[in-house]
Amino acid sequence: MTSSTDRGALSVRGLKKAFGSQAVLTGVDLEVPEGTITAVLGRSGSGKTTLLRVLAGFERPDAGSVSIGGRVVDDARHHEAVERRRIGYVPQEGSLFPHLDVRRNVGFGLSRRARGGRVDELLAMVGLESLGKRYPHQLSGGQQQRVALARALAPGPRLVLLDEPFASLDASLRAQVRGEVLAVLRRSGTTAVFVTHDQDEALSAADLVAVLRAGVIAQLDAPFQLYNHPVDADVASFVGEANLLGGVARGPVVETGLGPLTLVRPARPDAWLTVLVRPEQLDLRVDDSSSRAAHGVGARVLSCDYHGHDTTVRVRAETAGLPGTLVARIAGNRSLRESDPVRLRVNGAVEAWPAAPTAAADG
Amino acid sequence: MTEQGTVEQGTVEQGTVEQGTVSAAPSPASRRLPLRVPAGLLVAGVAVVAVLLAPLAFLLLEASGVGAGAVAHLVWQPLTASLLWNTLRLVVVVTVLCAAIGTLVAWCVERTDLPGRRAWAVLVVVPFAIPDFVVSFGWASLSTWVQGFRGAVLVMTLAVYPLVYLPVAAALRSADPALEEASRSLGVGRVRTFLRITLGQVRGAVLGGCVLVVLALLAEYGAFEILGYHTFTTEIFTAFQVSFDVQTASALSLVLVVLSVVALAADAAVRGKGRTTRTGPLAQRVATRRRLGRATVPVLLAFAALVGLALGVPVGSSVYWVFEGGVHAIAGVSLLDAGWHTALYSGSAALLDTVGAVPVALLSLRHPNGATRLLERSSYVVLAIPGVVVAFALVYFSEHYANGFAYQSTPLLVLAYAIGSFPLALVAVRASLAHASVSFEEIGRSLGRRRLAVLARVTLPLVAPGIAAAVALVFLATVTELTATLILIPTGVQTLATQFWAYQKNLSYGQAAPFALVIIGIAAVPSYLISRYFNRLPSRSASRQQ
Repeated sequence: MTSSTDRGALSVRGLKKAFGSQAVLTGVDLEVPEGTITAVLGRSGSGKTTLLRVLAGFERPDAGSVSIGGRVVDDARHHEAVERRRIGYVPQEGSLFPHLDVRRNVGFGLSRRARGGRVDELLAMVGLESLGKRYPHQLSGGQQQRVALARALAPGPRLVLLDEPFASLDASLRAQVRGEVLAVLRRSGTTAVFVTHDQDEALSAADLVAVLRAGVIAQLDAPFQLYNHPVDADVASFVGEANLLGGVARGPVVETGLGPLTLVRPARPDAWLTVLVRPEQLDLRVDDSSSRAAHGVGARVLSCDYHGHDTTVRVRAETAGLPGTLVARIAGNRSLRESDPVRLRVNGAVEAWPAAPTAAADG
Repeated sequence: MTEQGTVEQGTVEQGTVEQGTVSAAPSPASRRLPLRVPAGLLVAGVAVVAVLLAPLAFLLLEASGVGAGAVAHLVWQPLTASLLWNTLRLVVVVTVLCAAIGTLVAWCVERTDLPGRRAWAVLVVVPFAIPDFVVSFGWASLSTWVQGFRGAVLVMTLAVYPLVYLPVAAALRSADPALEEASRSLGVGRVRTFLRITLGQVRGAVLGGCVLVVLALLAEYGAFEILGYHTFTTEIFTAFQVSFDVQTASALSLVLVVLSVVALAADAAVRGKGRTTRTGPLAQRVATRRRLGRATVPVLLAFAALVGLALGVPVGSSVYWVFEGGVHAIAGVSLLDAGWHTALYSGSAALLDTVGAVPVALLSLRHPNGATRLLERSSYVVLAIPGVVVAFALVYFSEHYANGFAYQSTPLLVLAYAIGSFPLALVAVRASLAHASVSFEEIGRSLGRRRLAVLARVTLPLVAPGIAAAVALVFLATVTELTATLILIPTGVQTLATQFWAYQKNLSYGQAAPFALVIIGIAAVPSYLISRYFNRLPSRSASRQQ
């Protein structure tokens, strides 16, 4: 067993947890390097909150091991109590102690002597020096969340765990508070793990993203790698919008309904593949005399979702062997209408995986 | 790696199977390992409930000592039949009256534009604080008409209707007005909406209140003694205290406990069927109030009459007797002395109960499983054991196991108080603990604090209002306790209640009256606080939502 010698900030091996007959975690492996921010991304019910609660020590795992800062805190033999783990925990609602003011909330985990200076230091770090005497109900949602972070950081934890920390905030406030919280975490150099169901949040905020699916980590990667090179079609659709095409490998390219596309890595010749084309890879032009010859296959616009900065366009290709609907993204300053004729072409190399025979036949 | 992996998997499967059989419903609160319930907490909770159930155990021991045939012989006699008739007709009439008065008053206060609602809300609760025997004294000392069955119906209805009013008013406050609006929007008229929706929403509260009324009637001694109305409780008291007929007393006690258990079981059976819960967050909106219009004056007159009869007569009568008896009759020293002993006994019981309620509430809410829930429910069985039976059982205990040592000692009296009033403390502590989220405790521990430190610095401050309410409720209930006090009070000592009782028995109304007024004064303060506490609950949770 190597877990005791591991030097990472957090190391999880074969973690299992069931409630009654319902298995929630079925074998989680996770390595989090020192000083990074990792997002655990999963659909609701995927077990991400359970994972976080096991790491914190609120729940005892049924099997597997957890070590924090190179020390085993959970395995078959022993379970270290929450209060001895030196972790910081920030729950969804912040959960500031309602009967204590901001200063005493932040100082809760500190000894009486250490309290004074350290509390000032932390309040300055989260930019709330002037609010020390306020009570939680006198703070805005974003301020509460920053105080909760300061409170978690106060005792100098080896690892900070955040449970959907921004989900309860208004959409307008979320990005700002997220930015502030992450800046504080990076400045303090603390290793952090947060869970979220929001792909955008995971991709934009974290150094590493762990996709939790059916109780196991399906993929652990940097955001760029995860989005562009997901391990399978399901992860691909979960972390962003995806067009999945059937195709046959021909050396460095794959033959698809959108023509031959360059593979990011060569596949076994003549293998059936499932090919990932991200919406922004799909180059979409108005069908006119100049584009017809050079530009891919014809299609018709089904619908447009206008977002301001860009527009999501759903089209139906006229070629056989393609999914009924393809999704493309065009700049917000271009305008298309329903049933407009367009032409499609794919930019850049594509990710692909060996297809199950039936899926390939569907095409 | 593989070897250990398979071993681990084996244990997991075992664990899952075990849990599957113990608790079928998967919830985040279910624990795989029983050791997560702290041993100290479990020991404390079991000890508390064991003490609570001791009187019942002693009663059954006593009965089994007498033998089944002898008990049956004692129970099957004309006296039992007449007591049963007396008890049942009183229970039926008073319960129906209390249900009607309590529900109507609650609806007027909570759902209409009745002028002076805040003042009425307090005034209609205060009679709850006046001990039944003082209400009885107030009426009986004025008129000989108030006697027997009709006297018992009048006095007990006026004394205990707040037991229905309080839960119904609370239910109306938290009931979702959207249901009534939905009903009206579906074309159902006002009256039928009231009958089908509003009454449905408070049905559980009405029934719960009625059960409390039944239990209060079964346990009452002083009021019926003054009115010359014979029930099980008065006969048990007489058999035990006057004729020292322990066998009759224990046989009648068994019948009384069975009646109380039937009432409690009926409540549980009805309650289990239809629960009215709201789906949305609590009290996001207040119901619009019905305008009384031309009915305002009659309703105001009815409220004035009710408060006059329930509050004005006992207080007025006591004041009248103070002046009639002459100020010289007031023995200031004995009043102070009795007041001190009342405060000592009631205060001790209030603290004892509150301390005992914390582990039982923590176990049932923070470590819920079959065993801890059973533990909590068993403590409510105490509700079915009237004070006279508790006292009687403790005397039996002292004679058989302590050689008469603790008989008529302060600890035994405080224990009797604490046992009888424990459910009040548990309800108050439990309600506020349920409001305090577990996540506060988890965060406290994640910041490096141990369980006990988190209990002291997070949990207890959060449930402070519930703890204060628990102390006040138990104090109130025991200040007005008469039956067990008369049996267990140390020789040569008087409390306010027993001194009052001694004077009124001698027909020294002038000397009894000041004690009645002091008891009313003491009991009114916590009852005022309680009504305020009940009023604050919904608005507090609403302000937290924002």
